[in-house]
Amino acid sequence: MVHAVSLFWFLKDGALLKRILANLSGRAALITMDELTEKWAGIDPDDPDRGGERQTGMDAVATVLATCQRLTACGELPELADLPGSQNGAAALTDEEKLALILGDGASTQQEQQP
Amino acid sequence: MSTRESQYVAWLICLHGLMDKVRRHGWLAIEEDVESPGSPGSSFSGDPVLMRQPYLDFTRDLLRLRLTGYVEDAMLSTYAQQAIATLSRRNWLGQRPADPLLINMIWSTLHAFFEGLPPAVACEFGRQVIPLSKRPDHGTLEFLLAEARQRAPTQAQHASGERDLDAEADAFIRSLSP
Repeated sequence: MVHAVSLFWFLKDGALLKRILANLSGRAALITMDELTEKWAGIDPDDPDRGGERQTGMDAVATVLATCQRLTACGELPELADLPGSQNGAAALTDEEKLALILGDGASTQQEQQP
Repeated sequence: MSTRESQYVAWLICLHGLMDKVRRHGWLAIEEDVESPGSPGSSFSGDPVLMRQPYLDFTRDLLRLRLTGYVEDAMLSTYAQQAIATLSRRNWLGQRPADPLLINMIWSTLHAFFEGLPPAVACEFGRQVIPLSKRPDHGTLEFLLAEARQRAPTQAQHASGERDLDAEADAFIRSLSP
């Protein structure tokens, strides 16, 4: 979850953040929002002076992607190439684009899953 | 006291209801039960025995931690063992110590469920902790759980807080751009 907080800052994607918050328990969503605000509010992830912090965000993306790849290998997530929006080929996507594709497709099904 | 009236059985029925709700509707479905145990329709509100402390808070604390998703199962076990040790000491809050068997029964049941066992099987783990003189046999417990399940309301509600998280998320994202 610590990584996840950096992830939401790094991706700067409001729609994705709201979808994730809506699929957490109420308490977990409040904790996540508080942590996010306390740690990252007002800090632009694209600011070149924030190289070290950007690395934290990139590490978070890599961690989530590794988890997704493991779930894909187990058959619990579809192959990236099979997701809608990946018609140009998964290999051509950046890590951030891959993640948005995976989370965008999977977020609506998270309600049934354990926290 | 009949089997039906035993506090152990009352707790097993309650835990079974909560676990069944999780199985059917996901963890979020029990958030309201955990946060507002006394509210009408809560799994804890059906029997006054369930509102007794420290058993109620012990159960709620465990479920709350599990609900947040922040705590790994191994850490949750450590947490539970520490709580059990504390609650089992004499003179808890200047009163008599908590019933260690009831505390252990609650934990054994939840632990089995956290490990992935179905609710009915998890309750069987809890049943084994009940003292022999008060322990229902497997068939009796199964009957009581099925009976309670038929009475239970079917709902899966997501507890919404008073804060507008969508607005907070928007404000946060806006703050990131210079």
